[in-house]
Amino acid sequence: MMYIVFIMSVLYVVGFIGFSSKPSPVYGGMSLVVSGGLGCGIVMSSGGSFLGLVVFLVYLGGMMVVFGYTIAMATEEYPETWGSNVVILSAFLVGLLMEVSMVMWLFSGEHELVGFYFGGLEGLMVLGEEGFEYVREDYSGGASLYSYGFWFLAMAGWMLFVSIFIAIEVTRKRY
Amino acid sequence: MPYIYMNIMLAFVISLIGTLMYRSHLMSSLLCLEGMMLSLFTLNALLSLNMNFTLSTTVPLILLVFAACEAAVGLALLIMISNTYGLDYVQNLNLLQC
Repeated sequence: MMYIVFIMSVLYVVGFIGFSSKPSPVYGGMSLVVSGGLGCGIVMSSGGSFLGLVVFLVYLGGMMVVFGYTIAMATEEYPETWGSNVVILSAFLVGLLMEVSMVMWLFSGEHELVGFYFGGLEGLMVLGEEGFEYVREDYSGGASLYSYGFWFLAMAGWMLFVSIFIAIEVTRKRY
Repeated sequence: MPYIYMNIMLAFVISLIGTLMYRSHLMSSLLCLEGMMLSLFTLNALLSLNMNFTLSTTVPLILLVFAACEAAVGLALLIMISNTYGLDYVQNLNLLQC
């Protein structure tokens, strides 16, 4: 149970390989949703329940739904999946091989590269359970967007407003 | 460096490679772009939470806002391509071919 976060991150990478091997976008979207859920789990295990909720609501519930509708519009009759094409299957297996070899290399001991220490088993101990703290970090950080980060808020709001006009202008028909 | 950061950075590199290598659909490249944004969000959130940088937990939220704008523009372009050519195949985009 102690390794649950590590297993989630390995499955996260497998999900990324699943849509990077370019099956039909229907299956790619599904794989991205799975990776999003696992990413939420990883973030929540470090105590970030607000940011995990943001991933589910804004990212998966907002952006992926729009992607899903667009995929349904611009898709083909026989979507190709991971097993139906040897190119996709081999790309998936190569990515899987990369991930497995990286995990085995990291578990084989601690390596050093220009002062940076890779591997070593103390990394798994740091990201453990913590329980409730007196300062909920991600809630107070998210709330500081409105006080200290007012300029961030203004720029982000303006960007969203302008991007609506960009989308309207791009999709205007020019006959 | 803990394993989890290396896994998430590997996920970023995998979707970066997926964005740069086209197959038939343009939509799958846009999905790989979204995957890059998701891995950046996860990495930012984990680093801010584990190093107790409380104020920089705003950074993943801002990143998500800009990723949403970028996805909207990318999808608008894809819709126009799909309206002109019927499908979003990359081989249809050959008007500037020399």
